[in-house]
Amino acid sequence: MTRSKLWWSIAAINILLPLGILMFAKGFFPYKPFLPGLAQFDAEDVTTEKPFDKVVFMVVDALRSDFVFGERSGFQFTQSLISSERAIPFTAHATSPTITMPRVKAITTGSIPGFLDVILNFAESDTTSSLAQQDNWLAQIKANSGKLVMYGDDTWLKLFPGMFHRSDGTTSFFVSDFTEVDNNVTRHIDDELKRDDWDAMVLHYLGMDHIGHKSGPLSPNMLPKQVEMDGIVERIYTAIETSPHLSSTLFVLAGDHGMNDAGNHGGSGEGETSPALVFISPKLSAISSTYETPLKAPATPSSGEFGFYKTIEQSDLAPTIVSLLGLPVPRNNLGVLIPDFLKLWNPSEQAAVVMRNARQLKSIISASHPEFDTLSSQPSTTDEVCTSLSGIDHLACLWRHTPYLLSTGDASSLLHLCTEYQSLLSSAASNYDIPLMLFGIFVTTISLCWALGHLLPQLYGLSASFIPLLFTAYIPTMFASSFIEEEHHFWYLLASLWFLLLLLRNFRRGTRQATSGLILLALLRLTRRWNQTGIKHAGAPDIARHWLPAHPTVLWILVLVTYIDTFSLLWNHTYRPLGRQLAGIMAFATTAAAFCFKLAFAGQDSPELVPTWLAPLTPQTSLVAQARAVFLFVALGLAYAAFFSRSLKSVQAITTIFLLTQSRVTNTPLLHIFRIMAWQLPEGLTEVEKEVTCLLMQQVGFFAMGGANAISSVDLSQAYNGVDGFNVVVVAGLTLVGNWAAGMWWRTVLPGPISGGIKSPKLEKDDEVQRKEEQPEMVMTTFMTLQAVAVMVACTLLRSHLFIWTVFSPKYLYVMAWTGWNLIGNLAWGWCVRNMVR
Amino acid sequence: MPSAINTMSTHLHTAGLGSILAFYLPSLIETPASTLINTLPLLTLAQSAYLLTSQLTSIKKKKKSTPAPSISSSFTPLFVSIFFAGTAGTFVLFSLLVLFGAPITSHLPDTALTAAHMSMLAVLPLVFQLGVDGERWREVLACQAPIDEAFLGAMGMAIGAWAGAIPIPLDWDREWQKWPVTILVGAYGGYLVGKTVGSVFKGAKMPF
Repeated sequence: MTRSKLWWSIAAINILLPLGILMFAKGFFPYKPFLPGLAQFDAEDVTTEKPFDKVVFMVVDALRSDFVFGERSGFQFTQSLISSERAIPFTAHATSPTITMPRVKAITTGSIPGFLDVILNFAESDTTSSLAQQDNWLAQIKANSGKLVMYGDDTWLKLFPGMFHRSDGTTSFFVSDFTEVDNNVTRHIDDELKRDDWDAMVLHYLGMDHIGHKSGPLSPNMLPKQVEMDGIVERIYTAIETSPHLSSTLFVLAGDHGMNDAGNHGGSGEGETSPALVFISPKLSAISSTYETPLKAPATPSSGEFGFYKTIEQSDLAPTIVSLLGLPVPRNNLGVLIPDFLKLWNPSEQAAVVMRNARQLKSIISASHPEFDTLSSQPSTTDEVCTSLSGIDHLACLWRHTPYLLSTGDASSLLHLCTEYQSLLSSAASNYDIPLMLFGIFVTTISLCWALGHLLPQLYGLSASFIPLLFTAYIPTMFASSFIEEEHHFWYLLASLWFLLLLLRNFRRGTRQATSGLILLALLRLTRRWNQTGIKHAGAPDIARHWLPAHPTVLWILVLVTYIDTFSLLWNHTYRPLGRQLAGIMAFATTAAAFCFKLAFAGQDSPELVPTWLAPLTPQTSLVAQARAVFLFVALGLAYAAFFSRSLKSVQAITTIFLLTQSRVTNTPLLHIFRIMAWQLPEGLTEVEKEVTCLLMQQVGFFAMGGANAISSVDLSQAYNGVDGFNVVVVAGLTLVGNWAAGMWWRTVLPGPISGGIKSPKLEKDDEVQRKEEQPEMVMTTFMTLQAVAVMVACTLLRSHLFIWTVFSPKYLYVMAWTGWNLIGNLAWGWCVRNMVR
Repeated sequence: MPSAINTMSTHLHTAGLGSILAFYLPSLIETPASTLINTLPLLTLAQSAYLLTSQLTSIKKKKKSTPAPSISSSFTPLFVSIFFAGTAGTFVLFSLLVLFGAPITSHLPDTALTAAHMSMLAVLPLVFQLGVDGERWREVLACQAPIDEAFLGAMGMAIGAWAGAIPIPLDWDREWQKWPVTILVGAYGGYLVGKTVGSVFKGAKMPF
């Protein structure tokens, strides 16, 4: 088999693999039909009185239900409004993924954004594609000649370009910023409350989310922040009560999502999916005074840990708000008007209000189930019993009753119909495209067999038993949700075994040298402890998030050691052809720029990590300019290494500078640990053994740097280095490098077989003969295909599993990311490195 | 019939260790550290008795002409072996446990006692058999020694303890998933299987 033939196979497999993955994804992730255009009242809709004509919509990011309703809440004023019947509280169940963009979409359109939205998150943050095309209550207000103003998180400005009459967006750039982001919103409030030219004011406060991410729900900053937010509620409520032009204003206080005990969100833990929701207005006493048991605050959860008061779906907000404002229901809404609010209308009008919601839901069902219209238009008798029917027939039967229900004004039966429609539309299970999924599996399995056929027969020695062990052990773990959540343990255990086997093989080769093997194992153990990852022990003490913040001086000594070591590599290898002095200057300039950026970034992002002795040295220049300077140095260095120095170490040094820049400061010492590990690797490893080491360490490094198979673990902190606008490609690239820094480091150090150039280590004679037949390039590709097939089959077989959307789907997204990484990092970057040093 | 005695004592020993493990398992799950410390003398005793019996029978088998050796002449090497397994062996295994992921900020007595049990299981027979012959130790570490009970028992112990870590991350929330129960059960199981395989293929060469 010639090398070029092998590369053709690798290329073909790596084209088939993404194809299969995309086909499977298209069948697996439910696609909901979405109706374009804005809803309008049609002839059938009866216009009713509108209880409110203005709305103040105040979002407090990550406002978990207990923050407002619980015993230890800082929302004293809000609680007093609840007990005095001027506010109605709910827990608004948010569906996973619990991150801001999809939640804002759910709140405004009433639809239920799914996992596809996470993939499209980047694209949608761009202003070119937005909710401008999808009906929502903001657009309804605007279409009915209303004016909107917006202050706070600029997600809204990106989602609704051109929607707002006045606005001031804030970016969630540094999580350490607890005050500025919120003051930036608050400073506009008084001014806006005096004006009467707006019909809707949206406020989005980010401070609470930042506190959560930084130090969790029990942070000492949490209560003061709640008191601050409560103060805002009081200011707005007082204005509504006292100013005549605001007398008919609905005030909504809502969280977009909650947070878990570690202060993160994204998944579907109870804390993450339970944000608070409060409707506030003096007019609401008409509702709360009719409750059998008067509302009390603070309250205790009525269900679970965070289920305070009544729990509604977050998407129910959209139809409720439009109905209260007398507007048509957004076309893609899946929510149902909150029943309590019906009391604001005359009994004669209530059925007509619900009917608008029902007609809108029916139009979605007709769009997704073409047979519905024929079924629902069949003649019916009033005494027809629907309960014996199921599925679409049941819903159609219910629809045939509506004329009767409307004429008798039976609003509660109409609401029941709406909830039936909602549950059918929200269930995603019916939307799998099984044939397409199976075809995706088929295509990927072909590429897997192809890859295995290349790889396995050629293996010999240690890897001949280790690679099959690794592969066969990995497959079953993808079928167990806890092994997916705790995948790091698999790689830690296998990597430890691998290094021990390499150590024991030394004994077989006649030496009794064990030191470097033990150093490898010890450093691996240290790496494992660096970042606590996974679900089971999330938040448990570790080095990066607990020990180092308590010992910032040690952290910065480690960081300095890492940078100085890289400096000496740059000096002695990368810039060597420049001559000793000039090389020293270039190496120093590059390292100093990178270090200054790291220090300045830490100073802004996590000031608690900068010890007092370093604080005065923190540069004050703009981070964007500093990051660009570092990237410029990296580009220069890479070009120089590629054309002049042309050694592996020279590429390694300049890449390390780039990776240090793209890693969290607490993770930078890991790259130095990896360097010592690479240095301690036994001599005489075959290319396949090097590739196995690279595969293991890429995975170990991914998890040790804090990665996990959960969406909340994606590290976005380095995604905007040197970026001041928004550029999808650049931000996506920086995010990939930020999360796969360990992977890229190991690929650079072990780039695969280099023909010519570097002298191959001395090998035993029989090894030398066999080495030519082994196909190290195939190891990574085979593993990626194997992983894809395993996860696809797991997702197909377990598609009705309780955890399909919380564990298996995120894992599938990670498979997609790893495949992307394999193409960009392992294949393309590996090729670059090999050619730079050839 | 010395060889019959030997085979019988092997199986007796296997069954004995197996039943000790089964008997103490509930209390091991409940209070690992104290159970481990209470059963350590029992394990040492079982291993010593077995080693002495097998040495006695094997010497009888080899040197039929020489007069029957006294048990007492084996006592000194046995005590030295126990001492070595209890100190150096335990330390090495403790270090390996930690390197493979055992907690170091908590559970220290549990881990140390697990290492002691593993050492008495696997290291004691090896030391008793190999003594201080460095070359034979290297052969064992390189997996090249001729197959026998002590060697394969140690290998099985290592594999079993390694595989014992697998069920720990599962979300079954069972009491037995706690450190170090699965590791210890894996080590015992692996040792007993390895030892049995070793006695069946005694004298053969390792296949790899």
